[in-house]
Amino acid sequence: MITRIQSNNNTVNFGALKLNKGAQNFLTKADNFSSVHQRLALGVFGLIVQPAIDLKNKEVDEDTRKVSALRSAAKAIIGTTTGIIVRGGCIKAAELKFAKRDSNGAVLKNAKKTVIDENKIYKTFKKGFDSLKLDDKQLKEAINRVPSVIGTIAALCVMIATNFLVDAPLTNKTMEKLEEIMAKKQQKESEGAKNV
Amino acid sequence: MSDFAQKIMAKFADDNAKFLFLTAAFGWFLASAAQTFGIITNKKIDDEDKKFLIPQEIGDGLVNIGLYALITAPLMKHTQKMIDKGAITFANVTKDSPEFDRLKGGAKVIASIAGAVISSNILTPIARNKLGTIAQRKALHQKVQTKAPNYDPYYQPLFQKNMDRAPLKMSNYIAFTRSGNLKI
Repeated sequence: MITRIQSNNNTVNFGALKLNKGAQNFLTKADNFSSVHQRLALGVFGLIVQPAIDLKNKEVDEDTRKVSALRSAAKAIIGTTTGIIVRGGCIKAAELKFAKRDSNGAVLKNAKKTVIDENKIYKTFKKGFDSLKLDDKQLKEAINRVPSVIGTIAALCVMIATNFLVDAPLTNKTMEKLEEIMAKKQQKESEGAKNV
Repeated sequence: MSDFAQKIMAKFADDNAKFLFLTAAFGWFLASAAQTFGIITNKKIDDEDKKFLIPQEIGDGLVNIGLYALITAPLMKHTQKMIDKGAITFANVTKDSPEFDRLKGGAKVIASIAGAVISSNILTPIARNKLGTIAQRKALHQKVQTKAPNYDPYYQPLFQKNMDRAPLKMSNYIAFTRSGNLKI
């Protein structure tokens, strides 16, 4: 993915890292990543890493360690799921708000993606965009990111409620279920050991 | 819409990495508050586990946001500097081309996500477990001190450990005589 440039006297980038085309394509896409991508990355890594760290915490007894690890796993699953659903939903709603529509009021789509009415967004936030002095391409990109920004801010407001009404109780419910599964598994193991 | 709101919106839309950085920190604050509330109100978690889980949750939130800012902000800044100074270069893209800004923006977004993963998924759980353990030990220490028996003629002080000042009835007396803690 990354190729190291051989240093020579003719290049300005002495010992620099030169990113190949694949890495550049990824970075171009990453520039338009939304909070959904961010939440997904955090959730996946969190589910893999955090319970493992809790299970290796030798400072507490085994039962507390297990409760802690189960809670981390439950938090990662529930938090990521609701986070993605709420963010995705709010961003979609913002896209529809600024979507281009045909004469019948139907939303226009291009390759299944909602076509954004760039002029409508520019007019709404004109003073803000004009103050940044962006070139045409930068302005177009910034305008296309507006639904994602509005959707993410709206999602944060929605999540004040969902965190209390959905995340917290669901995490507790999931943790109870996981504990039940663990207890049954342990019971089966101990019964198996007795039979041997 | 006010000028201020328009400027904020345009700035966020232009600098995606900074926007994701700020909203993640605010989101974690909300998540931590909700989780703490969930533990406090969950009657199925026993008090001993709550003594560990509540400080763990509060510590998690504080450490999470602190470490996130401490790691991610410099990581984003250094990524930008490395690209500006030419320590990271792109194939067939010069500094003057419009593609350069997109790639730099993308690198900053990746740096912000990487910083979040390192701080919130690796460093925070380790730090919060340490803090939670300290808090749990403190709570247990306080509990031992408050449980010190006071002389009261109507109560059997030795019962306080298991029975929370239960009056000395016959059933309690039988339990008292069978108690493993009984040392005469």
